[in-house]
Amino acid sequence: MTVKKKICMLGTFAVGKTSLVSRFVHGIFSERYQTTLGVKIDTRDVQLGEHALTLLVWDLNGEDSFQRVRDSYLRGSSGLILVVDGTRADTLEPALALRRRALELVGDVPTALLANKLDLRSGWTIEQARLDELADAGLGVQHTSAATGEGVAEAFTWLAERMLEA
Amino acid sequence: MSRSPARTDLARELLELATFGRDAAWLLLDDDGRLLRAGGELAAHALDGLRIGDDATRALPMLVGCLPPPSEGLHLPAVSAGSGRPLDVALRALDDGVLVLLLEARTELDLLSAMQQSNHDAELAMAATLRRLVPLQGALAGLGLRVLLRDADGALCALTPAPRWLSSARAHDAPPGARLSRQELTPFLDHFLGDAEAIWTADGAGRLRSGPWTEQDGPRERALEAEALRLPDGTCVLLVAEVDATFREQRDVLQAARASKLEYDRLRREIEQKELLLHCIVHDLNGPLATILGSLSMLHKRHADDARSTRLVEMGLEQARRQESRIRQVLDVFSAEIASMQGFSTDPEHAPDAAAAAARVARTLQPAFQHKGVRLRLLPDPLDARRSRVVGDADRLERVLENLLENALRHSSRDQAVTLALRDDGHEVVITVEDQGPGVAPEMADTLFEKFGRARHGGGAAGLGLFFCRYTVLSWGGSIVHEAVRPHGARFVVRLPRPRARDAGRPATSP
Repeated sequence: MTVKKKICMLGTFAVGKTSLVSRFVHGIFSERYQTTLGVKIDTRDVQLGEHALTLLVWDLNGEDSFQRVRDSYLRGSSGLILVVDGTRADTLEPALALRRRALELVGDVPTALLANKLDLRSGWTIEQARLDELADAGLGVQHTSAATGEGVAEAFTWLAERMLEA
Repeated sequence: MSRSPARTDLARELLELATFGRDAAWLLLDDDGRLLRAGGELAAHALDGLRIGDDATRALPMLVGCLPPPSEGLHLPAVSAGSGRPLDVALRALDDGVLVLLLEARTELDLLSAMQQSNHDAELAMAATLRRLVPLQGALAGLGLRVLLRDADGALCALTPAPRWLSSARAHDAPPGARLSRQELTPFLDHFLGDAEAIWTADGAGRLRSGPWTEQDGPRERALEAEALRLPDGTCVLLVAEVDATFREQRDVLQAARASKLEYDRLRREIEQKELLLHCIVHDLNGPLATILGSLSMLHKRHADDARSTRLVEMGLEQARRQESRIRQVLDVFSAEIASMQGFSTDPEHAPDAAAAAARVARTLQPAFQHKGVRLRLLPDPLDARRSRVVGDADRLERVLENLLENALRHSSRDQAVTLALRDDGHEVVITVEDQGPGVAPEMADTLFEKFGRARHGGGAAGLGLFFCRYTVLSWGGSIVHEAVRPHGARFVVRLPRPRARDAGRPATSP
C-alpha cells in the first residue's frame, strides 16, 4: 500500500526551492530564476525497502517582506525541507524562523536543512560550524546543488526515511 | 493593473443576485455598447435578435449614458421587454468589455424555496439550487470560473463544466451536475476544502480565499485561485478561477522587486569588500607617516634657533598631522562599521564617565583653540561621577567629542566661542557642542551625518567625522542631532543612555 506524505519546502526567496523540487521530481534544472507565487504541488513516488511512498512536495513561495507563507499551507505536513543559499548566510535565520512557525502548527516533524548552491562553493559564506550545530540539534543537514543534482536525492530520501519512522 | 475587480468577487455578486431571480441573461459589450458575446435566457427579454457588433443600447435604452460603468459597477432597475416583469440590471467593467447581467427581480420564486424547506433530501435541495443557478452558467463560464456547489453531505457538484485540472482522478471533463468527492480533487483543492468547511458550516454569509496556486495541465501550467463562499441564503459554493494574467503581473512585480534586492545585496557586499581593501591601503599609508612625523619633530628640535628652518619644519609637521588625522578618521569609520563596535560597556561600574571624557578632550584640544583664537568653554559640570556614566566605550566616546569639537573649531573664527556642556536628563546624559560659526547650510542638513555628507558640499575635512559620531552613538542606543543656533552657529546634541544592567560587552545592534 502506498503511503502519502506531505513535505513543505521552506525558505526565503531565491534560495533554490523550486529548482530543488524540479531536480528531484523531474530531473531537470533551469538557470532562469522565476519567483514562486503561492504554491505548486509536485508528487514523486519513492520506494524505501518494502515501503512505497508518494511524496507530495509543496513548493511554497519564499518568505520575505513582500510575501508571507500562509500558515494554512503548512497544515498536514509530515516533514519539512528548509532551504538556504550557501552563498547568502543571511538566508539561514529566516529559514529557521519559518521552521519554528511550522512546528508550532504541525508538531515535531522531521526537518532536512539543505545548504544549496554547492556549485557556487567559491562564494560560500554560510558557516559550517553553524550547520554542524544544527545537525547536532537533529536536523538533517545536507549540502546540495540543484544545478548538478549533488545531494538532492539523498536529502529527500533522508527525510522520507525519517517520516516513515515517525 | 487590471481595471476589473477580482472575477471571484463578481461571481459572488452574480450568485447572490441569482438568489433573487431567474431567467438570467448576460451580454458582454464594448465601451460603446456594441455586442461582443451574449448568453443565458436572451429570448425571455426579447434580446435573442441581437447579433455580434449590434448596438445593444437600442434594445436596452437604460444603458445609454451608463457605459462604461464605474469600477464599483452599476445596478439599474428596468422592465423586461420580453416578460414585462421588473428586472435588475447589473453592469460591471471587465478586462475584455462590460458585462451586463439581466435578472428578473424576486417575484415568484418560491416554489424552489418551498421544495427546499419541505424536503430535507440533500440531492433534491442541490437540484433546486442548481436549477436556480443554471442560468448563470454561461456568465460564470464566460468569466473563466469553475463553480462547484457543496451539498449538505459535503459532496461537491459541478455547476460549470469541471476540467481535468480540477480533478486528479478524472481523465475527462466532468459535466455540469456531476458529483465529485473530495478525494478526486487535486491535492491543493482537497487541502483547501479543509479550511473552507469552516466557512460553509458557520452561521451567516462568509468567504475564504485560497491564495494562488499552480496546476500542471499537460505541458501548460495554470495559475488558479479558489474561493469558498457561503451565500446569504446558505448556498455553499466553491469558485475556482484561472488567474493567469493577474498572477503573471503579480509575479513579475515580485520578481523585479526581489531581483533588485538581490542586486542591492550583491553591490553592498562588493562595497564592503572594496572598503576592506581601502582600509588595508590606508592602513599601509599610515605606517611611513609615523616615521615622517618623528623625523620632522627631531628636526624641529635641532633647528630651533633657525627661524626659516623651523617654519619649514612646522609646515611639514602640520601637513603630516593633518594627513594622520584624516587617515585616523578613515580607519575609525572602518573599524566602527566592520569590527570594533562589538564591545562596549553597559555596566555602571565600568561604563565611561562622560564628564571626565569631556574634560580630557577639552584639555587636549585647548592649544589648537588657542592657536586659532577661539575660546573653548567647558560649562561647570553639575554631574558627579556616578551620574555622568554613560553606555559606551571610553576611547570612542572621547573620539566622538574630539570630532565634534574639531568640527566646531574648523567652522569658528577668531574671537568666537565653542561651548561643550553636559547635563542630566533622567535616564540620559545630554552632551552639547555649540559654536558661533556660520551654521549648517540648509542643503547640507539632510546629509550631514552621512558618509562624506559634509565633504560633498565642500564643508568638512574627509566628510567622515560626523558619520563616525552618529554610527557610534546609535550603536550605544543613543542619538545625535544637529540644531541651528540663532542668529548663527550650530549645536550638536548627543544623548547617551545611562548604564542600568551589569552586562558589559553585549553585542551592539547596528543603527
